[in-house]
Amino acid sequence: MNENTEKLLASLKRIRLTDEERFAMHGRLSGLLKRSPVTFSSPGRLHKAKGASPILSPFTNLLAAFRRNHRAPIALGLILMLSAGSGVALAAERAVPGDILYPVKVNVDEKVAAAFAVSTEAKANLATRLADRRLDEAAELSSRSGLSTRTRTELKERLAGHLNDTKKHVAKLRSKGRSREAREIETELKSSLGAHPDILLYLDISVSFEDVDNDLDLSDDEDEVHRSRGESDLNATSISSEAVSERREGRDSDDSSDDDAFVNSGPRGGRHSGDDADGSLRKRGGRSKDRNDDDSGHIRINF
Amino acid sequence: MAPMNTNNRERWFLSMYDTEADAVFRFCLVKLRDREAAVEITQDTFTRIWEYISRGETVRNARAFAFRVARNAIADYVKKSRPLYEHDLGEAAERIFEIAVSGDAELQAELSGLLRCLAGLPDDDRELVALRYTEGMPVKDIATERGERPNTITVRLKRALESLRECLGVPARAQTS
Repeated sequence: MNENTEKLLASLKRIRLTDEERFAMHGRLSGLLKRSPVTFSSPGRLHKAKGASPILSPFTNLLAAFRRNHRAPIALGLILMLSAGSGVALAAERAVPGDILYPVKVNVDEKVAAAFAVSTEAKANLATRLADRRLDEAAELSSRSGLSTRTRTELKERLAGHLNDTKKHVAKLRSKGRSREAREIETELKSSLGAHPDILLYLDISVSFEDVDNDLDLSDDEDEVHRSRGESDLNATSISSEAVSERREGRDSDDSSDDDAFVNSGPRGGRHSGDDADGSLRKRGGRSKDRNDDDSGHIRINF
Repeated sequence: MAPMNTNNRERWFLSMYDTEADAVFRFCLVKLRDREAAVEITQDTFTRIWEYISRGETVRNARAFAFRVARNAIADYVKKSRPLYEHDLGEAAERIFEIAVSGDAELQAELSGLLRCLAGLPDDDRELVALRYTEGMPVKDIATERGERPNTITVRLKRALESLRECLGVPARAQTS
């Protein structure tokens, strides 16, 4: 039986609706849309309750102002531009590398989010979320048709950047004495990484956390604290360099199957070796480098 | 997140269906362990979502919202229907994966085994595991959705994984560093 339970659980994504089921459902929902069109009850449209006077939309006054004001067309244009912009941003949120809107997602949406992340904690949380996004994008692409070498490189660099940002902000939080927030962010990051061990392996990135076993704050459930201390499931976010090297060697021997290897790395591919089979945590207290890129492109980030 | 006008709402909804239908279906399948019921509840879930959207309501996190609606739809289904969990997951698993991984007997066997072990978990733990490890939902989002602390969710996930590993026969050596 496969040793990597998380990876096996992730492969349950292969369960999908059949095409027939999907199309039939889509047809029924399209019919529903025609039968039950939008009927706003929230501000923005007139809504008349039985026996009550109509509630005027807040836009009523705005429209009246437009009629009186010669500058109205300019204002309307601005509103339309902003509306269109938000629509693009909305659509971009679901984009993955290769999509036409992906640059909007990473260069506009995420930059705007970064601009609003003022505090160190907010910045750390954002960096963690962005790392999770990159992992999800890689997972999404892998479930479709695989990753091209270019996309893989792009995702790898972006993910490494987010991880380093997280590390930097977490360190800053700790230096400010806010260890609890730092631990929570690390826990979240570990959880995200632990859900995608195969992707980290494929992207050739390994992440290690130092001294986290005893850092976990589980004070709200003492029994669970005892059960969890000293155990390593939460540490399934560190992929050993040996395992990565092993995998890399395999890949180097057959570059042409780069993408296939990832797509097929499900429950049986990309298995870690020996005691690192579950990506167990290992302490690397002696390392001074936060990010270690070796000649072959492997990126190692030590928290 | 929800768009402002009728056309946009319809487009957004159909796009959400395209994106989330499989995830909702898997969620229902893991919860109900009955493919036909899962398809039915998936349809019901999106019908409910449209009813919500069509009233002019907005949705911030589409996926989290879809799972919440699905959970409610499942609860209603369970109340109305015959007792669940009578199904033999061992038999059902073969049927479930016949389409999903046809031609890959080894993977099919592994996934069938996993489903059997998942069936042995408490309903709530099974849901957590599916949300986190199959759908990749962040712990924080799960916690927010359920009104619990992220650490609590993390610990429960950990225990559920331990149970799964034990059931799957994963050697203890591989579980600890």
